[in-house]
Order: sequence, then C-alpha cells, then structure tokens
Amino acid sequence: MTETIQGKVEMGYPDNVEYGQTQITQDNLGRFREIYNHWLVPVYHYFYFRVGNSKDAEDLTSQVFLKVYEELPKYRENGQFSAWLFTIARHKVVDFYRTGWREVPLEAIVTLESQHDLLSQAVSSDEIRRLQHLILSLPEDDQELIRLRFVAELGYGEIGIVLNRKEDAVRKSISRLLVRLQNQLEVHHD
Amino acid sequence: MINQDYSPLEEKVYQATRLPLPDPQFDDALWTRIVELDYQTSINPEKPRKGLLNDLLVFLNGNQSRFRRFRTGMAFILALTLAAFLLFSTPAGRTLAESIIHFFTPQTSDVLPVPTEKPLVWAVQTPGKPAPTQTELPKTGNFPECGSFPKPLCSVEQIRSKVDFPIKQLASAPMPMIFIGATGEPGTVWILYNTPDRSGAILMTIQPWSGGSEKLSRNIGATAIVEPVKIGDFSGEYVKGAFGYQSDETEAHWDNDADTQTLRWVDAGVLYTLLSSGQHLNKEALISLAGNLTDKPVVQPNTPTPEPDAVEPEVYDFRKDYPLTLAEAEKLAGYKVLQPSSLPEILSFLGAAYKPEEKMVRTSFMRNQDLEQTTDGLLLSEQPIPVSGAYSLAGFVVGKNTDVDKNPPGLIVGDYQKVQVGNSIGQYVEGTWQGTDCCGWKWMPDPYLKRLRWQADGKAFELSYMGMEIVKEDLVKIAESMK
Repeated sequence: MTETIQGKVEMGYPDNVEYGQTQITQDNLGRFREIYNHWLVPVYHYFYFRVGNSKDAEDLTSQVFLKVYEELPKYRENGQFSAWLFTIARHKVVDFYRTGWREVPLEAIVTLESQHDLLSQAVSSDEIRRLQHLILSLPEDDQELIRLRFVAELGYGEIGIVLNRKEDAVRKSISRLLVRLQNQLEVHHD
Repeated sequence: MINQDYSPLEEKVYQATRLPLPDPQFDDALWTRIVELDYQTSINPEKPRKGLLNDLLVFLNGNQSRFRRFRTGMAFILALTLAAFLLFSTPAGRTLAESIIHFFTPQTSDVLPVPTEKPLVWAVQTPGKPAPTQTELPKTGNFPECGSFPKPLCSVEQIRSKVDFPIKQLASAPMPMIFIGATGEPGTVWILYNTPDRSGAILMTIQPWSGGSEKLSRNIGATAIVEPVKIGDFSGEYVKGAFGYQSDETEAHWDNDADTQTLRWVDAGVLYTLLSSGQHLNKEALISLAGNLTDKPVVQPNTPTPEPDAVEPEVYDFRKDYPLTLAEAEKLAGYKVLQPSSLPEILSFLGAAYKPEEKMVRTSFMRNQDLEQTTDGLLLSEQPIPVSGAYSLAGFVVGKNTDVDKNPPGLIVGDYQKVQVGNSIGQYVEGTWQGTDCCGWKWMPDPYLKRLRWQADGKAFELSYMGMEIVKEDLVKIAESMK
C-alpha cells in the first residue's frame, strides 16, 4: 500500500489500484456515489480555502462533480484519479477568476473557521492561530501546495501531477515550506 | 483526519487549515443534480468531448511519452519562471536577463553556464543594530511608480506617456489570461499578462530599434529551431524552447519541448518580443495574437479588480517573532550574547528572542533586499552548555529516520561535515528530514537549508541560513567573526 493519507486507506481508495481495476462509468451510479462521498469534502475545502466563502465553494464544487460525471466515460484507469479530479478543480478556479476576479478574503477563512467550529476554537492554541497567519502570508504558489497537501490531502505524487512538477520537486518545496514555518513557530514558542 | 505519518508540525498545519464541512443541504442538492444528469444521460448518452480535458485524457489514457514531455516542459517552465525572478531581482540574474532578452543567437551547444553570483559584500556590524548600509538592488525599470516584476503596476496608457517610441499591446488578452500591468525604462517596456493560477504568461518586451544588430540577437540552444514567420505584413522569427535550470544547478540546459515560445519581429522601428509560457497558446495562436496588436487604448475586461469589500491578506510582521533588542535579550539571558562583527550586506539585524527554559537567545538577520516578502535569512542561536543533560544545540548526530522523533528537533541528521571554526571543530549540515508517502522520514540533502554548529567558551552556537546566497565558507566566516 503506497498511499498513506489515512482517510484514503480506510476508504479503500489507493487511487490507481482500486480505480485501476474497476471501470467507473455513469452506468454504475452506486460506484460514482462512493467517489462522490469520498471526494466531496476535500474538493469543497480546497475551493473554500481558495475563494474564502461557502457560496462560491459550493458552486465550484458542483461544477467539478458535474464535470467529472460527464467526463467519466472517457477517463481511463491508468492515471491517478485524485490528480485528475484536482486538475479539473484548478481549471474551475481559473474559470472562476476569469469571469470576475475576487481578491481572496483569506482572513475570512480563519475567522469563519474559528466561529464555525467551536471544538477547533477550543483547541486552537495561539500557535495554531499564528500558523494560520503565517500560511495566509505565504505567496500564492506556496499556499497552493498547502491546499493540495493539507486541505485536499493529496500525496506528493498526486500533487506533482496536478502541478505538472516532479514529485521530488514537490516534496522539496513542501519540506522547505515546513522548515520556514517551523523556524517562525519555534521562535514564537519562546 | 490526521495522516498518521504527519510530523508534529504537519499536524499543526493540518489543524490550521481545517475548514467547516459543507452544508448537508448542498450535499443533497448536488447529488440530486447528478442523479438527474444520470437520468438525462441514459436518454441521450452522447456528449461532446472537448478541449483541455481531452488533452488531459490523452495522457491519462496512456500516452506516456507525451506525458513525460508535458511534465519535463513544465519543469523547465518553472525553472524559467525562477530564472525570470532572478533576472529581475539579482545582479547576476540581470546579467542572464541580458543574455536571454536581448539576444537570439544559437549557441554552440545546448548548455549555458548559469552565471555565478557576484561576491558578497561584507559589512562591519554594530551588535544589535540594523546593517549600516544596504546595497540597493537596481529596479527592473526606471519608472518606480510602475513597479517591477512580477508585479508591474502601470497601465499601457501610463507607460506610453513615459517613453518616446510607439507602444502596441494585445488587442485582447487570450482567455484565460489577464492583463497584469506594464513597467519599463526609457529604452524598454514590458507588458505582462498571465493566468490567475499562474499556469501561463505572456511577456511583451518592446524596444526602439534603429538597425543595430545587438538587440536582434538572443541566446538559444544549438538545437533550437528558428522558424521564419509572417506577423501581418512583417517578417519575424519563432522559436520554441527555453534554457532552464534548477536553483542548485550550475548549468542551464536548452529544452526544445519546454512550453516557452518566443516570437520576435520589428514593426515601424520597434522591436517586439512576445514570450509565451505555459500551454494556453500554440504557435498559430501566438502569431495570430502578434498580428493583432493595437496602438489604441484597450479595455482590459479580464483585469483583476478587487471587490470593494475584499480583505487584503495580512502581511505577517516577522519582527513579532524577534521582539527583543539585543540588550533586552542579554538582560533576560544573564549573559553576554555574542554577535557577528561582520555580515554580508544582504543581511540586517531584525531582533532577538529568548527561550528561558533553555537559556537560549536567538537573533534573526533577515534578507531585506528582496522584491517580495521572504522568510529567508540567517538565524543565530546560542545557549550555555549545561553541566549535565541534553540541550538543544548539542552536536549533530547522524541517525536513522526512526530516531528523528525521539530526539530534540534538529539534532538527528542524515549526514554532516566537520569544519574548522576558529579554534573549534564545528559541524556543518545541508538538508532536512522530509515526510514521505511511503516510508516515514527521509533525509533530503538540500543546499538551500544550511546549519553550522560549534562550541566555544562554554556555549553552544548554531547558525542556520535559508537561501542560496550564503555558502558554507560564509557561515564559517560569520561564526569566526563572533564577538
């Protein structure tokens, strides 16, 4: 088993194994429901982090799943489904900004999150809040790495496919990013 | 759910990026739409296949050679993007820029040496004070109000008013490109368009041309194919490919498959260079764009316009992390904090922080000449060596990946070198542990992440630097200058 994103393992979705053996077609609505159930939240969160509000995140999520449904008959199983899915998601974001640029209200994400999830608020230490600020201060490309790795929970290889980068390059970029964040956090601990 | 292989920091990042779940009503409504679509599809199963997804499916369906080219090309685009940043942000980069932007001459090979960085300029330091002098980086253009790359600020009309040669622009930016801005200097204007997700860009370089040959040359690889083309009534040349290199490479390699296209022509005494990166345009589309330039004002329908109530992302002030003056840190620590007496000019004292449980003082020296915010810089940590017991700045220990989480952060390394630091033997490390999807921690040598540890006069020290400007010898020099 190569996929270690725990959720995927538990759901039985090591991408190119399960999907590789089963023809996913529109004829099998039950099978599509499994995909839908598994990926709805990661896709929604990916958009939410990007656009900063639930309305647009819902709209984009809808577009992605309808597109995926339409394109499924043409999808062949030797690729990585999650990478395919998030490539579509990224193109939807392009369309979204093309039709009306919006400055991403990233602060609103943090605020909304802390208001929404009381449990999270309770456990959210100063450190976590500070980490949120640091993440939101990152350049867009770095934030995209965070979104794909920690919001969408993709593996390095999948992120590499989505971003058209080598897996090692993605791993290196994320490692550097984490070291930077760690350096800042350690000081704040003091 | 937290990945079981996440490091403690990754778990924190995971927690920091949690978001509310979607509304169950949305979930139900979307699934209902899919079921309805399923029903409609069962009635009329034929649906068109189109565009980019079609292309995507081609390589997902098994055209691996194309896929490899695709990825290789994008890697070079990334490298080119990096080079573009360098070319507008560092003196050495601008040297390369000269060779990239102003020449169009096949080389004798496909390899181009990456220009070496200019020697660092060192400055005497006053402990606890910002660097006395800062070498200002020359701006991209001489029109400071127009900003510099990658964020040119002027409209085309504004830039037209600043130069004495005619400026044509794209009659309309190709979807999904948007006009970003223009900047320049008296002899050159740059106009930048890109996609919101930065997967593609068009850079127009416009220069007056009076017949000299120097501007008509441009470095390309020996195997590059120069194609004569017609741009409207004008003759021009087209080249696909780019020189690319990673940050730790010393040679740039020409790649004919890189998704970079360059089109050059002269129109009424003005030299136009249209550089396209990404996969949004093919050759014909690029030539078509070039043939439809206009000298009239263009309404930029795709120009990003922040909404009035949009919240600007907060720019983090890293001084919050190092809030103490040197004197305050020394007072808290109860010992004299040693500081470098000489530093490269690119660094400047930011502030200090104190960690009481370890009696550790950290001093930050940030790079302050970057065009964009960065966390790169030098961090000096020092603490008295305790009589007994473990301490954070103890000497590096080469260990296995399974040792990483059982020891203080930073102690276990994959490898280190011994170096002479004054009268002491120090340890120098390049790299960090990285999480993998398969196998837990893996040591990753990385010259971008450097650490030097040594001990002297009963104290342990660490200098860590993130970036490529300072090398091992520089860190040793800094360490030996400590007073």
